[in-house]
Amino acid sequence: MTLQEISIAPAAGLSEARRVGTLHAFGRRRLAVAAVVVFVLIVLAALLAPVLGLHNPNTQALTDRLRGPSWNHLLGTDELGRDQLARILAATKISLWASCQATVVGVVLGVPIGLAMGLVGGRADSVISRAFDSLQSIPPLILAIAIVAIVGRNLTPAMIAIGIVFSPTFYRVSRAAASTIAGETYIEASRSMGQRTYKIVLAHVLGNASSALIVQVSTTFAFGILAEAALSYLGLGVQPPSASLGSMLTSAANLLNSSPQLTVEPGVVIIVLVLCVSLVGDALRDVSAGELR
Amino acid sequence: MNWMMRTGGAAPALPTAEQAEPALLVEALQIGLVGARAVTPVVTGLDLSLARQEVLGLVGESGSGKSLTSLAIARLLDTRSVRVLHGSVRLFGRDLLACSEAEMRAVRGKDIGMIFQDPMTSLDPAFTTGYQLTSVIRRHTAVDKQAARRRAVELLGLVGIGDPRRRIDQYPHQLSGGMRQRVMIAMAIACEPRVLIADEPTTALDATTQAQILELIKNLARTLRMSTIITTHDLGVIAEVCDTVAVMYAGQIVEHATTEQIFYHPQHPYTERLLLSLPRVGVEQEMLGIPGAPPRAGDFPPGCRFAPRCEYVTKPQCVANPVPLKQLDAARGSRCVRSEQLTLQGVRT
Repeated sequence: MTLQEISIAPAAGLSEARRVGTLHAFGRRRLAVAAVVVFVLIVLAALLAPVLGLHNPNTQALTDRLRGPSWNHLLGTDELGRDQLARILAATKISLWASCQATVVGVVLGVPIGLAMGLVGGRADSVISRAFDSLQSIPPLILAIAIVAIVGRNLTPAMIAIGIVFSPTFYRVSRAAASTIAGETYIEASRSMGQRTYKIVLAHVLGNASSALIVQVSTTFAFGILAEAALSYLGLGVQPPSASLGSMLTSAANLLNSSPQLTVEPGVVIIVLVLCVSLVGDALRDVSAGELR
Repeated sequence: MNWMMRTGGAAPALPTAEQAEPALLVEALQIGLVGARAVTPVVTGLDLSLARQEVLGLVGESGSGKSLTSLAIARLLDTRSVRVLHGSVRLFGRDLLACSEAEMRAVRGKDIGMIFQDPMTSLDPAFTTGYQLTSVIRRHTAVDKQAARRRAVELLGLVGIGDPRRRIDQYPHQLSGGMRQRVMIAMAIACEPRVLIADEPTTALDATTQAQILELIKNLARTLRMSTIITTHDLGVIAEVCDTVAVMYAGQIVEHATTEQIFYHPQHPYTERLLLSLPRVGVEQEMLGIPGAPPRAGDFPPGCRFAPRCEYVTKPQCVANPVPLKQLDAARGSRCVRSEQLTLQGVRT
């Protein structure tokens, strides 16, 4: 057995060698792993809320208003006697979904155009890049509020607006990656083998840009959660009786003195969600940076 | 190996009339750098004929246009900065410069295989060798994943990679430079191209690996009956593998001949100086460079482009008018007005 074989040949699973290496590096970051676990638990709880045998989040029980935690209501009830835990889980689901919308819009808008412009370059590139730059100068929440003013109080258009404002970051990341990768010899090599352009872009360019994009996705997702909370807090997002982390804060704010737990609970969920997503993003960035030769 | 023998050997004997037609015929090729204001010609009036199963060496200094020429043949020039201005490139009679981009994509990798200089960067670090190899195979042949993988393993074995079953699942960073170049060669010959273009295939490798890679290219060219162009600045490479040689200087071919003729009876002063600059084993002597520097593109002298550095220059015949490539006999030509008067020195044995 040569030295080389010893160093690179674990008995099995060689094809997975690199992926396993990345997972390993990630696994060594305990905080990030904890963040993943917590995030997954929250997501599962939010998705499975209907089958967990909880109360209906919108059923009022005016005789049971503002109760503290009990076995019947684990996190107590709000000012209309609704189960706080059920409402928080319903709100989390809406929050995650809204943030997904914004992120998907950002990716769908930014990534393909970014890849194309990074490869094409030239005048089209500078025009489109300036357009995205100016898009980035718009404050996302203000645009979302303006959109709500036009189309009415509805969360989806507002989150799409936020996604649009976030597309420049995806555009930039993928454009930068594409223009760097376009100059790599392996792109020329695969062209010399008659590989189709779309295949080169999808496999080689996107494949090599993916780690940067994943980090960007996590950042945007975290902001999406905050943006949804902010919009709903202002009463521009989810409309009653549906629960949202932001709107729960608004109604609970009036009762801050008598029932502070109503404010604290959704607040903690927001903090934990954003923190988890950010921690995962940071770890992914560190891991993928370590992967570079 | 089996697969190679099967399909490679099945090619029918070609009729002689067709056999006379060269595999690749480049005529009056002119390549220019596209600047903001003007187009600067860098390769001018280049004629090249590659016979079937011939191994042709394209030798010249950096900047002489040899790489541009080989890229232009496969239409791989970055048209934003470098363009073929005119000329024709015929692959078995088919004009490649008239092909659409889609047609060219079908030609590349299938009819023309290419090997590049730097194996360290020619493979995508994010994918396994197997993925990159099978994607080339599946691009040009209608086979399923398993069959492509079997072929990939075969190809890796064919290019001399030990334990191909294991190597196929490795990433480029797990392979040495020599092995990566072997993988590149496997990709280039995956679809049994009839023409192989190797652009400085050994420049980035160390000396022992160079010899192995050259041997491999030579053997593959013979067994797969490929016509091959090797560009290099290394005369050793030429001596090792080439049947014929074209010497490039300042965007022109200044001499072409068989390898033996070039080495023993050069007919152009530039070739002579190149040969003289070779260090000789066991002989204590100073390195003999060629005085001066090659002219920059766009600044070519009006007459013979080598004249400013040539020790045999006579005015005005050398500097007045552009010097045509003079055909001396069937195989050779020289772009020197005085080639018949001069007795030039080849390598001394």
